Amino acid sequence: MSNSKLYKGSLNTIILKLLNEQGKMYGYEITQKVKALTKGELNITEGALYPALHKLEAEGLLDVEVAKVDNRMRKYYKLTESGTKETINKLEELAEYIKTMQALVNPKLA
Amino acid sequence: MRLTKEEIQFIDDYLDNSDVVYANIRMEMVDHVASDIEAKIEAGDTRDFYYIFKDYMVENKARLLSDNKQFLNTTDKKLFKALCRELISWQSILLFVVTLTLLYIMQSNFHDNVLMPWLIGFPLIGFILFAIGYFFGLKFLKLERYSAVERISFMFNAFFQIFNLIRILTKRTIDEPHIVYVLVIVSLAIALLYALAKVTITMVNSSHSKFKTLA
Repeated sequence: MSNSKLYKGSLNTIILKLLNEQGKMYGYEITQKVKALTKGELNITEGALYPALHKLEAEGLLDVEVAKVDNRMRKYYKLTESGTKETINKLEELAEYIKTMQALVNPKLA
Repeated sequence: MRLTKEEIQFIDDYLDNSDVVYANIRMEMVDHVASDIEAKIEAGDTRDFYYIFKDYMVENKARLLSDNKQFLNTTDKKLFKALCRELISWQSILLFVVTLTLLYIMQSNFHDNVLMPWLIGFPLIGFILFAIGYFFGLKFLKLERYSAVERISFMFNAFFQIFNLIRILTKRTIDEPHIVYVLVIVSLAIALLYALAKVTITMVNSSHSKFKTLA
């Protein structure tokens, strides 16, 4: 990820939020979606994305589906039931974090 | 424009030769690399596939390989958790109790010299059986290598080494290990082997249904 340190802690939340909106997505699609939504500001590298996806899968928050697409196998990720609940928690945590940071950095806007 | 089967195979072979040996990890990397190359071609890159691929690898190879290592760590943790869950299941506990009782009854009818070598050698026998089975699968059934299935062999190995270590350590403190102590260790070994076998079968079935049926 470029501008990595500030975004790094939010990578799981970004992934969960996107999957919550899109239903199911594959790795490359996630990187492109994030790039498009942030107008190229946030560039998630495969070295950061896949370990995060695999960790979320191991924790039981994501489920996997494999399909044959364009001469190759494609692994789709989707939220499990506990993944959907965790998305709500993570988004609340993030909103709280943003509010706190805003109070610290720019008290007028908070 | 979509890449041809030959071009996809080229990416797959390249990653395989770069030590991304497990089919389940490689599959995802192949899709990522292919998607990126296709996006470049669609965006107007008119160069030959091999030149675009070469440039991609120069830029991203180190990151891809580091992802491979991290995936293996995640797999190990997942297996360890599954193994612990299986080991404390009622079936494993029941097997432990039944084995211990049976061995205790057996040892009352045999001399220690007859039973002891078999008991102490048991973990090694379990590991050798697994190794032969896996070698046979790869060599003769030409199975693809899947990370979760293969990494579990490390646990078999670790399992054997732990018992071996306990044996070496206890030899220094007591010349003749107490038979009940050996019986507990062997019963635990049998319960652990059962848990390992069950986790292996679950992983094999999961890998098979996810990947093999789509090939």
